[in-house]
Amino acid sequence: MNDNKPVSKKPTNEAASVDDHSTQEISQAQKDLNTIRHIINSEALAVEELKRKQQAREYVTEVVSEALNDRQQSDNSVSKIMVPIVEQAIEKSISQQRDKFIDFLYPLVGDLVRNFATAFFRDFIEKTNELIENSITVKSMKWRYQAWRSGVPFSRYVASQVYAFQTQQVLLIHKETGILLNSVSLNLADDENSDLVSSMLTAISDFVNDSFSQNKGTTPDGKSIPETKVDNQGLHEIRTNEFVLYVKQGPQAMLVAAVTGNISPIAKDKFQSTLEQIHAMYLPQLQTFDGDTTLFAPTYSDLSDCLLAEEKSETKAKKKPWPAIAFLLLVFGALAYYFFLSWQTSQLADEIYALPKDQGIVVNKNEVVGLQQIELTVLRDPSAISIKEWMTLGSITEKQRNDWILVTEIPFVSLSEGLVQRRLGAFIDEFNTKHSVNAQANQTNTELRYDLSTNTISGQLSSTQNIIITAEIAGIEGIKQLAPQMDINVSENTQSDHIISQRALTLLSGNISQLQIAFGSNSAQITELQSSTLNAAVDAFKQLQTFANELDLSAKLLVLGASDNLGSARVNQALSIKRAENTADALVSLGIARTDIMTSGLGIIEDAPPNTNVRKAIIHVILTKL
Amino acid sequence: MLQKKICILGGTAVGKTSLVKQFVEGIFSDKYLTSIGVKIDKRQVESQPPVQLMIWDLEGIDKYCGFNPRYLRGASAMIIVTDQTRLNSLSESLEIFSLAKKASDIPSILAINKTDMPESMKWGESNLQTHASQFDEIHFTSAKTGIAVENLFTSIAKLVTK
Repeated sequence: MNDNKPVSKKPTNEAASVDDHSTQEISQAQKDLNTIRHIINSEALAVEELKRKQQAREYVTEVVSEALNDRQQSDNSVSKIMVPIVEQAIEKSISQQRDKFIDFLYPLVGDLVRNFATAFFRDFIEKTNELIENSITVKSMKWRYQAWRSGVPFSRYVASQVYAFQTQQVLLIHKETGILLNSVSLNLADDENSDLVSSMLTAISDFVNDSFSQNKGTTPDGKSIPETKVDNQGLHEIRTNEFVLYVKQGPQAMLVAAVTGNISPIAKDKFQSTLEQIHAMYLPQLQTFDGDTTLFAPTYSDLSDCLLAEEKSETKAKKKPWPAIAFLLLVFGALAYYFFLSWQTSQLADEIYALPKDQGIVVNKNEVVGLQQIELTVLRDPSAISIKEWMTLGSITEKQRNDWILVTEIPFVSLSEGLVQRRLGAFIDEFNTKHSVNAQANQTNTELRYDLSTNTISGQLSSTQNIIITAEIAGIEGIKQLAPQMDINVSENTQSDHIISQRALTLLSGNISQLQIAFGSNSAQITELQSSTLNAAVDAFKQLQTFANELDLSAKLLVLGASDNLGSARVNQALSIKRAENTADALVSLGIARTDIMTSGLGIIEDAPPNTNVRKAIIHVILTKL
Repeated sequence: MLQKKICILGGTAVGKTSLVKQFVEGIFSDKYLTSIGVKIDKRQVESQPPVQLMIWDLEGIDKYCGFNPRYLRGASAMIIVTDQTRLNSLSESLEIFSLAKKASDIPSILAINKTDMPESMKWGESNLQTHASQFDEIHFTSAKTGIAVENLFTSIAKLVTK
């Protein structure tokens, strides 16, 4: 069967495009293949690399510990390298995990503090001991003198006496340039011009080498010796009076140590080994040195290890720091004594407070003002016992009374019962003493007695004496509160005693003069309140008249009325007269003869003291000869 | 801070020590120069970066006292000093320079000293024409008045820190 489908022929350009398409596909396939190849190769390489690393890891794992150990043993370089790394790691750890570190360290803190305190105290004792030994002992004085005589600083002289040798300074110098790479020194002042000293040492070393090297000229048999660049006459030691410079020469650097005393071979070897170590660690830096000394800063620890010292054997032996102990004991003893005295003084002040108070002595101030110094201010009634006697009532010693206590007395009047009784007793004793002679002469018994238990005054007195005694007893401070009973046998006067009568007269006149009748404002009325005063006046006047008669005197009363300045002068004058007259009338009504009373008005009382009541009537006694 | 060794060379009495003295205050006295042929001083120059110059003042070189190349070891630069008031000074200095250059090929500056006495000048710049290129820099100085002394050492500091 024929296929009626038309057979289409591809046009020519279509065939060409098919060819192109195939070529493109092939090249793309090539590209893809290359990519795959590349990937496979890369992966293979990666796998190879991994394998190699794994192997290397295995090798290193097997030997790393031993290698580190061996290296550390040989030159200690491992720890030197590890130190900065570990420091950084710790720093990072602490900053990131602060709390954890606190927890780790907390249990250690207590022990750390205790150990620190122990070490600190021990160090303090030793340093104090050293200070005392170097400052105030005979040996130190001797050393100071010898150091001054030698012109050497004292510290250096001490070092020379104490130490067999001591390294004062160590310099690390770049050999070629003479530049100071690093230095350490016991005394900071020595570091100031170390760089110049280093250069000069290099120059001197060059000079010595140049002057004494056998590197040119001819041998004895005429052969010439070629110049050599090798330094064969380097400096190794420079000695002065005070110290020795040990110069250790290396290929790139030299180490110079300034030592006082006689150095041991071990120390010298230390210098050499340090120089070798530095060369090992810093050889590239030394070879390419261009002036940057900061690269050699880490050598500080190595150089510090060279600051060796050895004490002389006689000072090496551990000894008890007796001077420090003695000094501290002295200080503590002084402090203890001070505190003891302070306590003693305070105790004494307490004892003063504990002394009995009711003896007419009142403590106003009791103050500790210093060691064994007390200021005591007391109020003392003259009738009370003396302060000395008062202090003996406690356990205060005489030395304390005399030396420790500064007493200031302020007089005052005590109204305490015991003291009033004492006053009364003293008065009675005085009376008895005064009148005992008279009593003998007059063959009378005028002794008075005071019974404390019954608070009663008893005895026998003449009437005149009785009046006087009564008046005088009434004048004793505090007697009103004591209110003793009077049990006196009053007898007639056996003979006229003018002096007693006059005295009685005076007393009674005085008593009457003290009596005042007070009035209200604008009033001349006598009130009930005035009755006791009026009665006292009447009693006293009657007694007074008796004595006046004995002495041939006439006794009259003068009543004077007074007013304040409120109101007119005329009114006040009349008021004052009225007051006087009313008072006189009251006296008359109590039994005084009107003829024995005179009255007058004073009017206004000017310039009276403030708060004084001048609205009153006062009574005076007028005595005239008959 | 960087430290650099600088050497100052020249004939006798050209003013090397005076130039150094004008620039620094040394701690070693001049007797070291006469004893061991060198005196060392130091001075910091505030350049960028700052540098401390260790100045080795070498004793004057003449027919009686030869040139000691050992002191040039490790030097970063040198200053050749010449005296403008002496006729032979330039040739002496050039000779010393060539010896020094053989010992140590380092940067160098020519310092023509005593310029404070123009009336006594025996030679001038024209004499330098053929030799100027051998030096990195040429300075006209006076240790007596201090002219250009600071500049001299500042320049040398720049030279050694390049």
